[in-house]
Amino acid sequence: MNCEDVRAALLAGIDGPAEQAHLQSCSACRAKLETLEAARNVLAVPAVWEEPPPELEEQVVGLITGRRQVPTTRRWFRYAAGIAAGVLVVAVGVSLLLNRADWRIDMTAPSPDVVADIAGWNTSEGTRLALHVKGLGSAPEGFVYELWFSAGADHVSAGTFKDPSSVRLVVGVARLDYPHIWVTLEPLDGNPAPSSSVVLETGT
Amino acid sequence: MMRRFRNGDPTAVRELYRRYANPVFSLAFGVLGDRGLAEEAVQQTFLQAWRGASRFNVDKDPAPWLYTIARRVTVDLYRREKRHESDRIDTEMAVLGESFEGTWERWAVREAVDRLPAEEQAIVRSIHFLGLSRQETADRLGIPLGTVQSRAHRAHRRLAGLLQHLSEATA
Repeated sequence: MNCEDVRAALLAGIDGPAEQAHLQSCSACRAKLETLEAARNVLAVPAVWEEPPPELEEQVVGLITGRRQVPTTRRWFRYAAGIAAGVLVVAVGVSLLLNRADWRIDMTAPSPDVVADIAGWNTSEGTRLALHVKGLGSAPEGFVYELWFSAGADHVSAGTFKDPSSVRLVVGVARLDYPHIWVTLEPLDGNPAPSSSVVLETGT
Repeated sequence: MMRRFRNGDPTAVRELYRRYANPVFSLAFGVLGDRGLAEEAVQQTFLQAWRGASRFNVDKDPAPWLYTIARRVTVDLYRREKRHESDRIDTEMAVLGESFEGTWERWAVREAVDRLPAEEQAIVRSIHFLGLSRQETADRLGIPLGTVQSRAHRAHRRLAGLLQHLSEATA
């Protein structure tokens, strides 16, 4: 047996006479023994086999590529961003002290049976969000819900989700700059623009 | 790829996500014990990576850099949830507390598993995670025992090679 075969066997949990004989004469493999046993134990840890839901990929790609649409080159925006950053730092400190969201607002829906609110924590990366909805079912097959931050015609997606009851998202912009927050029902057609099917909305 | 990722190329963002989303998720889930929080960790990790990509040396392996970001994000989420614990009724959070030790090993093992061909991944999962014998694996996957044995050997050889850096790091 060569070193590669022995290491494969040890990682697989096979520790027969041939492997033992090799180990006695091979210090390089003996040095790997502990690591291979540790790796074998890790392979049995359930968390190692956990995977994110498939829809998270679009959410992350949208979050990053969507940010490129933010108009960062205009001088007034830079000044505003500087002021906003200062406000955010203070706001984060205050929120930590109070141990609660920086803001929380009700969202309205076409149906009076739907009750929703959204809370936000301002961070240096943007805004962390918690959306809570009652009375609205999961998105039907072939559709997802998508939450948007908008300023006029400039829309930034915070991500998509199927079950709207309790959703956590991160968006790379601040509510200060993107005051209109809304949720649409989106067909899975690859179109990155918001659909006209609005299911929840805040005031501006 | 990292050069393109730094420039915000959607294809590179997707490529990096597909390569590393599973290790990020399994690291975060192992510590936080909550799928929603682990998803948040994945989002924040890739967002912070993108924001910090200009400082990353594109000639280097991105795995240790991404691991560092993912771990820091997970620690922050863990602390945040601990702070909010008294405000929330969430039984899932009661299982929090798994050690942060071993997160690099879990990351490295998951990353290595993801680099195996799908048919070898299925064998490794069956043997180690499900705890099935070779024969039970063959029955479950509907393939001959000999195929299971040869794929298992190839998979473990490949994994042992991919995980060499673990022993180098601790040597």
